[in-house]
Amino acid sequence: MNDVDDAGLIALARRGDAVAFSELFASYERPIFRYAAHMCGRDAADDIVQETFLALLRGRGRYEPARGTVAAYLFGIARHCVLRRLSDIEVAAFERDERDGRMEGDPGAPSVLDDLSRQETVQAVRAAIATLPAPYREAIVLCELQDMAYADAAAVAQCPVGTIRSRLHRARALLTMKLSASECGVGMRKSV
Amino acid sequence: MKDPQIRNALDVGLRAVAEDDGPHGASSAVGMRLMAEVHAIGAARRRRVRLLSLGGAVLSLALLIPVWWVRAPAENTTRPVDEPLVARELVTEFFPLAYGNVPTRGGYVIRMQVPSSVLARFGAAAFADDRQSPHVQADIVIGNDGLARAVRFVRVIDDSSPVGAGHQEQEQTP
Repeated sequence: MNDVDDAGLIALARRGDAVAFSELFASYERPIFRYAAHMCGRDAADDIVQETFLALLRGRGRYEPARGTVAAYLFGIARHCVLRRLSDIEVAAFERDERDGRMEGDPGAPSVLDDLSRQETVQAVRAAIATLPAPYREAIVLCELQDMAYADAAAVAQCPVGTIRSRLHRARALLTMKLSASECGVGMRKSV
Repeated sequence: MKDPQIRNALDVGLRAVAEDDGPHGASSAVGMRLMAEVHAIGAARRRRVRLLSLGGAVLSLALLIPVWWVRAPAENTTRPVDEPLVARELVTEFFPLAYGNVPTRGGYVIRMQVPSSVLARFGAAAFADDRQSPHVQADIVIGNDGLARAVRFVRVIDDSSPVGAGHQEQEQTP
């Protein structure tokens, strides 16, 4: 489905067309849920999905195709909901990230992932993502887990594409470091 | 572990998380709540449309009723030439007007007030009542082409209004 279709569906849904809304919901509900779950936890994800689509239905914020895709528009709404839920410390991390480009830790540290079963890998990576600072977590969720283009992710995060790229780079470095550090906790062999 | 190996391992891990995330979505309660909202919006919109239609109808009526109200008296004074006048009126004969000889197919009569001085121009000055009213009622025959063909004067009879003698007067009966 392209954005022209989706834009039409948004217009119809706002007029109370249940079929149009169902199509939109089916297309975007899961990606938004996953984004919300990674950013705020699963307990809040349901509420964020609901708030996002309610905002869509009630016409808060006009969708203009020239300004981005429908996905970016919906993620933008979801992001507002996410930011309302993040602690002040985490929200401040977005501002810190804007002015402080330093990267902590050693990204070249060995990783434990090769030695884990798939389920253990999922759990370890999921846990590591959850501990990332919010800006990096967002970049990883949008670009890696949602497979969103950098430009779209930048539109959602309301920052330049270059910022998204650097956040993603730092996020990957931090993940590598965290996963290496969790080696002992997981109790797996290191295969170097 | 070398950098490419680390990157590869992380990519594999992230892909695994993405795949694991895949089936997860909002609970069915969220979907139901949102669908209820959509139906509520649709219902509200239909109500709005109905109200707008009703409002339009009321507005049209509000505009048309005064028009009808204004036109209604005119219709009361307009009737076919050969239709008898209401009772208790005295009328003169019809006096031809400038276009009295122009043929026409049908026409209608308009009743209006004209200055009493007009009576003299048609030799009907004696038709004026004793009260020296400045106006007198007149039935004017209008052809369908809009040209006035004839006029006659009308006097409503009441107990205090004596009929002027010596004039060609007719008492109309229903």
